[in-house]
Amino acid sequence: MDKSMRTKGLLIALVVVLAGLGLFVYNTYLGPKSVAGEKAVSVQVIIEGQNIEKTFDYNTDYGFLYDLIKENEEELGASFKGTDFGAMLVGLMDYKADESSNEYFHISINGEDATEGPQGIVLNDGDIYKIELTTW
Amino acid sequence: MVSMKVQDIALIGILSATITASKLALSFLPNIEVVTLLFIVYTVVFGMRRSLMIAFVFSTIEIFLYGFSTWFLVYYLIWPLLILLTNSLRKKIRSEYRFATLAGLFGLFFGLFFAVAESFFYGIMYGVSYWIKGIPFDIIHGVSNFIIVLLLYKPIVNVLLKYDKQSQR
Repeated sequence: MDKSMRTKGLLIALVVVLAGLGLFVYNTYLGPKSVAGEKAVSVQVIIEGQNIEKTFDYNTDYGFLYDLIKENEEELGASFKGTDFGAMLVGLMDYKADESSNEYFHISINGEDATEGPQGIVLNDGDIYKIELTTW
Repeated sequence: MVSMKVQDIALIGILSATITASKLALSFLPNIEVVTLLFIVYTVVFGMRRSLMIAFVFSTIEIFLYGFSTWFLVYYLIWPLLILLTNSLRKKIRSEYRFATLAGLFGLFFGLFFAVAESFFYGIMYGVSYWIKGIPFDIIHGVSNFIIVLLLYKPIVNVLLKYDKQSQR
């Protein structure tokens, strides 16, 4: 191996280690933290065009909305799509959001718009998660 | 009005297609791309003016492929910015280490640039949340850009310079 490739190898190793450190710091101080223990939460599903308005009550130990929906995937008729920013909810009650019509599932938590996807939404005891089909 | 040779028009078309195809080919990997590498290489080999046109064509094709959204507006700014930065660097030094550092920093701050733009549309809190949420992806973007440019910049530049010289004959 010539000197140039050795230098590049060392640099790459250094950058990868620094990145790992950066990700560790992010997960420790900035990443979403789940709440441990059992929680009673409600998931409200509204798909107006299909006359669907249902509320599901769950007791769960899971920390994030994504895991709760995944566990009850069959009952909720849910499906996800992987994106650069994590899993995106694209189907509920066996209805798939029509991207060509700009449809998507909008999530709000206790009436406030969620700023993250299901994998970043932390479950808290007593929370109501409203998931409504809407257009952008 | 800027005059263009037929050769330039053909070249811009081919290079825009190459960038678009390479982006699509790697789209299954989150934030790992060779678009940054190719824009740096094109600026060094074919110059700023032609690269800016490639960036315009590439950004417009992205809209045709994915539909119009606020973040595509940023594409019209962010790629020309990379080209301008590369152009200012290439006059001083052509070392792959310098360009790898530029690519790494570009990837690392990519999300921040979008967050600033998004906050104009949806508010500062949305922008901050958008940026923080995307930090892990920015880290991956920065590191992968650094590695890709460090390893591939020189071989691609050498090949393209050879063909560019041949085409000038």
